Amino acid sequence: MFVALVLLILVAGIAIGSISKSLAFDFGEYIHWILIFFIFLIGMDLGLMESRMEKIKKSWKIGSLIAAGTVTGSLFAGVILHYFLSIPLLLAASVAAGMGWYSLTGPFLAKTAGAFAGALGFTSNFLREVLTFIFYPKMKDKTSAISIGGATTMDTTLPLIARFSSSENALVAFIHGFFISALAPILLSILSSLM
Amino acid sequence: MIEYLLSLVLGFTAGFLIERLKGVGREKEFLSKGMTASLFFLIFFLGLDIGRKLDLSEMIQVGKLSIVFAVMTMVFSYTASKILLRGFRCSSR
Repeated sequence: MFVALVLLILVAGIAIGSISKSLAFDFGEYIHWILIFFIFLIGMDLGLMESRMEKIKKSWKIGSLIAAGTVTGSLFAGVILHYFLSIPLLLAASVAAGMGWYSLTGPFLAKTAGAFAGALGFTSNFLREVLTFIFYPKMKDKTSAISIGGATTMDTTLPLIARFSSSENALVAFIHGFFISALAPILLSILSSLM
Repeated sequence: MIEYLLSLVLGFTAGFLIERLKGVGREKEFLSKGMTASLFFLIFFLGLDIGRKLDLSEMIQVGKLSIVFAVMTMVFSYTASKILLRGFRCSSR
């Protein structure tokens, strides 16, 4: 029921957004401030926890391990797709290396590898974010499933993870997203320089 | 990114101080309600932002390929993370 409500709100937002393209409001600014408030609440929740320092230390380890899994898995998926879809290896790896950060991958690939690469980079990573909203609540292993959100687990999908998991996992997701957000631009730069 | 980290640290400090000064009372309930409300607002504004930025013709052009990319990267990321976490849990026992 709650998942359906979340998806309904997302679809309503997209529908209203697409028919109000001419409006001059910057919704990105609203998202930014709501996120800051939300992350503040997550911090508060952690501060209220007992044995908080132990949990934070453990979250760092788990967050970095999941980030390693996300990078390895995404790049491996790029290699597999290169073989099965006959897409150039570096292009497939670059699209996969965006790891959900569509606002970076789309423009970056459009500039370095052309319009098709840019469109593919944007839509693939955009869909990764949307699919995380759909699939995360249904996943059994909520900790490993943080990886499906890629870079978005530090911001846009963080509230979803916090709502459907625990505050400990919310911290893991934040740390994971932090690592991925730092690694995605580096990986994209390396891969595009090899193209 | 800095402001998110700062916000997390400030929230943590506030929570820590509340817990030390008066113990955990109805704060958990307030946090849960606050998080749910933020989630709804955030998703709505995110949808608005996506709706405004999305180029439908571009999306249709590379649609199928994008779905394959998105699903494959998610599946492999999940599998790799699961294997690594299992290894970590086994080694820390």
